Amino acid sequence: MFAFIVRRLLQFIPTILGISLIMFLLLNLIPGNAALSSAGRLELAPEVVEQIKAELGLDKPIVQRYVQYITRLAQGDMGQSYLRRYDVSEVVFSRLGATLKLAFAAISIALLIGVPLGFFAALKQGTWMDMLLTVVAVGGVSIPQFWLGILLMYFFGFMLHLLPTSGYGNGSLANLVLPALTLGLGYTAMLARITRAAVIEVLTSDYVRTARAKGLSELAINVRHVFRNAFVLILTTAGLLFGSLIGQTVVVERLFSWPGIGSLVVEAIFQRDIPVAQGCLLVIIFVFLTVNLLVDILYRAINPQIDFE
Amino acid sequence: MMLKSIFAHKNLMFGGTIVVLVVLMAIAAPLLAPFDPVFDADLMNSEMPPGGEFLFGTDTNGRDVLSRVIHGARISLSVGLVTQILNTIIGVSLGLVAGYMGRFWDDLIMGLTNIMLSIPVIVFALAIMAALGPGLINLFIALGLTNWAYTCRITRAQVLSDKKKDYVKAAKSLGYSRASIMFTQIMPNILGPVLVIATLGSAEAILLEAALSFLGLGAQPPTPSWGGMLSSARDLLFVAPWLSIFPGIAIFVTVLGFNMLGDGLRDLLDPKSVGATKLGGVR
Amino acid sequence: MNLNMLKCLAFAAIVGFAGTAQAADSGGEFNFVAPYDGSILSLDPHKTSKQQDLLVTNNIFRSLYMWSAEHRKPMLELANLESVSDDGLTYTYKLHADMMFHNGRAMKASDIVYSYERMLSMKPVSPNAGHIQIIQGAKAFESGGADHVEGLSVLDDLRFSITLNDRVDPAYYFYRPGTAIVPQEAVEAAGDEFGLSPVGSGPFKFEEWVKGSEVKLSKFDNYFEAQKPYLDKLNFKILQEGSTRDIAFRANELDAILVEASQYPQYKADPSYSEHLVEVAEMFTRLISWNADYAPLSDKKVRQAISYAIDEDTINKKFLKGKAYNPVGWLPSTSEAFDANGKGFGYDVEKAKALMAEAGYADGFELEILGTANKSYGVGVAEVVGQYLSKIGITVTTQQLEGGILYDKLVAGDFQGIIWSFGSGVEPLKALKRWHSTTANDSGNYVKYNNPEYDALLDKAQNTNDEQKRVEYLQAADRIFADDAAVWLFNYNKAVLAVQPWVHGIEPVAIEIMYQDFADVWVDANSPRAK
Repeated sequence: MFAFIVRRLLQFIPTILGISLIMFLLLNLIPGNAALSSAGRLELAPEVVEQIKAELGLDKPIVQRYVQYITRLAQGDMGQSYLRRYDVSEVVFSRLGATLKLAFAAISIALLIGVPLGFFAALKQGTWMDMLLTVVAVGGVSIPQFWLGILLMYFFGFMLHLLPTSGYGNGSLANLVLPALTLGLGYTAMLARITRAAVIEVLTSDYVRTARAKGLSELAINVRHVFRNAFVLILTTAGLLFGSLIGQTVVVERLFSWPGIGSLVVEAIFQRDIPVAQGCLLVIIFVFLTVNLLVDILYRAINPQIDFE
Repeated sequence: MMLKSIFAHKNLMFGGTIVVLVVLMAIAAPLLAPFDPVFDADLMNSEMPPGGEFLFGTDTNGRDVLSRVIHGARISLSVGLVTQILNTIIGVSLGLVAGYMGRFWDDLIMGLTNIMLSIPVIVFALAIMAALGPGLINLFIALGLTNWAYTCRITRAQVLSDKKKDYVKAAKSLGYSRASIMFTQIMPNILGPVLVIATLGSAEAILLEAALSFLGLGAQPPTPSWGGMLSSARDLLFVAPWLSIFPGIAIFVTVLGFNMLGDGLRDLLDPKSVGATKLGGVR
Repeated sequence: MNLNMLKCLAFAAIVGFAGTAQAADSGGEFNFVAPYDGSILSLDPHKTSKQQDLLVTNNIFRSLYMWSAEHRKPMLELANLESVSDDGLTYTYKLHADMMFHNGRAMKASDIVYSYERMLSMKPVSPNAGHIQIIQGAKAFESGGADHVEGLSVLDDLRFSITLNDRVDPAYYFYRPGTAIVPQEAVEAAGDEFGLSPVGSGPFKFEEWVKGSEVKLSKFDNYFEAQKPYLDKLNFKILQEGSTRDIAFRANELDAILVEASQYPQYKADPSYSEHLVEVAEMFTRLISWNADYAPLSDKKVRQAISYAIDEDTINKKFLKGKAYNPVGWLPSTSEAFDANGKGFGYDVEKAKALMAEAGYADGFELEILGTANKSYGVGVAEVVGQYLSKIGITVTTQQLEGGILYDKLVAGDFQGIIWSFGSGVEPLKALKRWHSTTANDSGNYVKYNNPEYDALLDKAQNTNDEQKRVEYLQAADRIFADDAAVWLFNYNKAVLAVQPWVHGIEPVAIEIMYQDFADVWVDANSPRAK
C-alpha cells in the first residue's frame, strides 16, 4: 500500500509538468497580452503599453519565460499576477475555498437525492416508475447549466423571495443553495443512473439469490447486502465526481457571481493574466489528482484483491 | 434479463427516434424553415411575440426564431458529429498504438491521456477558443481535440485483453503486419463501446457549445447555433421569453435523445460495463 | 430627440439635486454593483486602469481634482488654486487644512509629490502614468535621469506647485481616479499588498474584500466635508451578468444597478422604476472606423453613401432599445462644444445608391467589420449594419475578436472597418485633436484622418482667448469631420442607472456613470438597509 501511494504521488510530477507545458504554450499562443488588456475601455498611450510589456518580461522569448516559470515553480513560487501585481498564490488560494465549498455542496445534493432515486428505480426495475425516473435523470444531464441557473434564480430568488439571488454573502448557507443546486442537478442525475445500474447488478448477483433462497426478508436483503455492496461503487464514483467538479464550476460561478477558482480561471484567460490562469489550473489539477488518489486508496482498503494496472 | 433488454430497447427506441427526427430536421432545414435564418432580418419586426407570421416570434434583429431553431439543428448536429469523429479517430488510434506497441509508446500515450483527463474539458476548450477566436470551425477543433481520453483508455484496455486471445495470435503467426492486425482484427471488437462513448459525447459537445457561448466563445453570430441563441437571449428571459424557450427546448430534447440513445446502445452492446458510466459529462 | 435628451438631463439633474434639497438622513447600508469585467483586480489606484477597480477606489481615495456632475467638468477637490504663473505653466495650490488619511495622519503637500512620483517610478510603470507625464521633468524622472520630478515642488506643509510642459488645464489630467493621493507610510508598510488593504483620504475606508465577490467599505468619521458621508456602510458587489444583476435588483438586494440596453425598456415601462432612472450621455462616441487604405473606403462618396444607407435612428431605437443618443458629430451632447443644431446624415437609401454609382461602386463591394462581443457596440451591431448595407450592394462579413486583439489591429491599421467606442470627452479641443493630422495614427487617429481645413480650425480654437469663438471653431471643425464620414457615427452612449426609490444623491456622471461619489448619497427610512 505504501509503495502504491508513493508511486502514485511520483506520477503527479510528470502529469503536472506536462500540463504546465501544454497550458503555458497554449496561453502564450493566444493573441493579445496582459499589457493591452490592462487598458480596459480606456486607451492607454502605446508607449505605456510597450513599457508595461517590457517590464512584465512579455517581450522575452517564450522558452526563456517557461524555463524561468518552471524554475520558480519548483521553488514553490507561482509568480506575480500581471494585472494585480501581487502574488498568484494569494490570488488563487483566496478563491479555492469557495469552489471547494460549492463542489462539496453539489456532491452532497447529488448523493442525498440521486442515490435514493437510483435505488428506488432499481427496485422497481422495468416499471413505469423506473422509466419515469430514468427520463428525469437523463433529463437532468441534458439542460444547459446557465439556463437552469437563471430559472432557479428567478423563481426562488425573485418570485418566491426564499433565497438570495446571487453572490457569496459572507459564505452564508442561503447563498450556497441555488448555485449548488444548479451545479448538483446534473450530478444528481448521473449518480442516480450509476446507483440504479450498480444496484441492479448486485440484485441479479448470486449471493442475493442465495439470500433470497435462505428466506431473508426483502427489506433485510436490501439493507444488508445490496446497499453495502453498491455503496462502495457509489461512494468511489462520488469521490471521482468531486475531483472533476472542481474544474466544472466555471459556468455556475460566473452566473451566480460565486467567488471561486472557476470564474477566476476564465477571467485570467480572457485577461491574458497567464500566471493566474496557470496557477488556477495547477491547483484544480492538484485537487483532482489528490482526490483520485484518496478514492483509490479507499477502494483498495475496502477491496484488497483489486488489481490496479 | 428479459425485462432489462426490453428496457434497453425502450431507451434505444426513444432516443433513436429523437435523434432521427433531429437529423431529418437538419437535412430538410431549407424546406421546413419559412424564412432565411440570417438574411431575413428587419429591425421593424424586432422582438415580436410568437403568433401570426412568425410562429415562434422574432429575435432582436427581427429574424424568425422558428427558422433559426430549424437551421440550428444543422449546427448542433455538426458540433456533435464532427467533434466526436475527431475525438474517436484520435482516441482509437492512440489507444491502439498504446495497447499494441506497449512500453515507451504506452507510457507516453497513457501519460498524455492522464493529462487530458486531469484538465477540465471546458477550461481547455476555452483556452483553445481564446487562441483561435470564436467560430464554428474553431469550435470543432477545440472540442474535437480535448475529449478523446476515455476512448483512448477503453481502446487500450480492449487491445490489452484481445492481444492474448487466439485470433490475434493466429493472425500474428500468419504473418499479418502490426498495422493490419490492429485495424482489421482488434478494431471491430472495440466499436461497440466507442460508439457508446461517441453518442454520449455528442450530447456533451452540444452542451459544451452552449456553455462556451455563455462565456462568449461559441459559434460566432449570426450563425444560428442553439447555444448562441440561448446565450444571447439570457438578458431577455423575462422580456422576450420565446427567445430562450425554443432554443432551450431544442437543446434539451436533442441532448436527451443522444443520452438515451447512448444509454440504450450501452445496455445493448456492452451490458457488462453498465456500472462504469463515463464521468464528467455535465455542463 | 435633442429636446428629449435635454429633458432627460434636466430630469437626471433634478434627481441629483433632490439629495441636497431635502435634509439627508444619516446611516444605513448601500449595496452597489461593480458591473464590468469580473473580479476587482487591485484597490491600489495607481496599479490599475480598469473602471471596475476605479469605481471602488474613487470612494476610498481622492484625487487633486474631481469630476463634478453638476458643473460637468473637473473641479478642485483637495486644494485651492492660489495662483497661475504668467506663462500659464506653473500652478500653485494650497491643500485644505485638516484633511485626514484613514490612518489618522493629516494630508501634506509632500503626499501629492510622493503620489505622482510613485506612479512614474513603480515597476511596471503605472498604467495611469500618462496623465502625470504632462508635468515638467516627468519623463526624465521616469527614465531614471533625475531624482525628482522637476516640475513638482513642496512650498510648505500645505502648499505646492506644479509646472507643466504645455499650456493645458491640469484639471483634465489630475481629476482621474487613477491619479489619487496615497499616504507614503501606509504604502511603504504594505509594499506590494497596498492594493489589498488600501488607505486613502476618501469618504469611505476599506473594511473587507471578499475576492471575486464584493468589497465592503465603511464610513470614515474624519472625512473633511462636514456631516458627510451619510451612509454607514457601502458595498460593491461584483455582478457582471446583466440578467443576474437585474434579478438581484428587483429582489431589492441592490440599491442601484447599471442597466443594459436589453432591460432598459422594461425599466422605462415599469412605474415603480421609471421615475428613478438616472441617465446621462456618457462621453463615449460609438462608431465604425473606416480604413482609408481600403480602396472603396478611400472615397468620401462611398463613406457618405454608407452613412446615408444606415438608419442609425432605428438601430438605436430598436436594437439598443433607445439606450443611446443619435449622433450629430464627434462631440457628445454632454460636451461643452456640442452642436445642438447639428444634424446627422439621416436615412436615405436612394441618395446612398446615387453616391455609390457616382463613386463607381454601383455593384457594391465586400467589407469586413471587426468587433468585440459587446452588445452595444460589437459584432451584433455590425450584423445589423450589414443588413442595411446589403441594400446598396455592400456585402458585409463580421468577425468577433477580443478587445485587446482588436486594439492591436486598430493600432496596426490591419482592418477594413472596426466597430468600437472611443472616449470623446472631457475637454472638447482635446477630444477633437484625436483627428488632427499631426496626431500619431497609432495613438488615436487610427483612420488617418487628414483635412487641412479641420486642422486649421482646431489650431484657431487653441490660440483664441475668446470662449465663444473657441466653441464656434470647435463646432465648425466637428461639422467638417462628420461630413467627411471618416467614421460612421453610431451614437453617444446613454448610460443608465436604475435606483431604488429610497435612494438619494446618485448623479449623472458623464465621464463614467459608475464613478459615483458616495459622499453625497443617502438612503431614507424606506430602505430595507436603513439604519
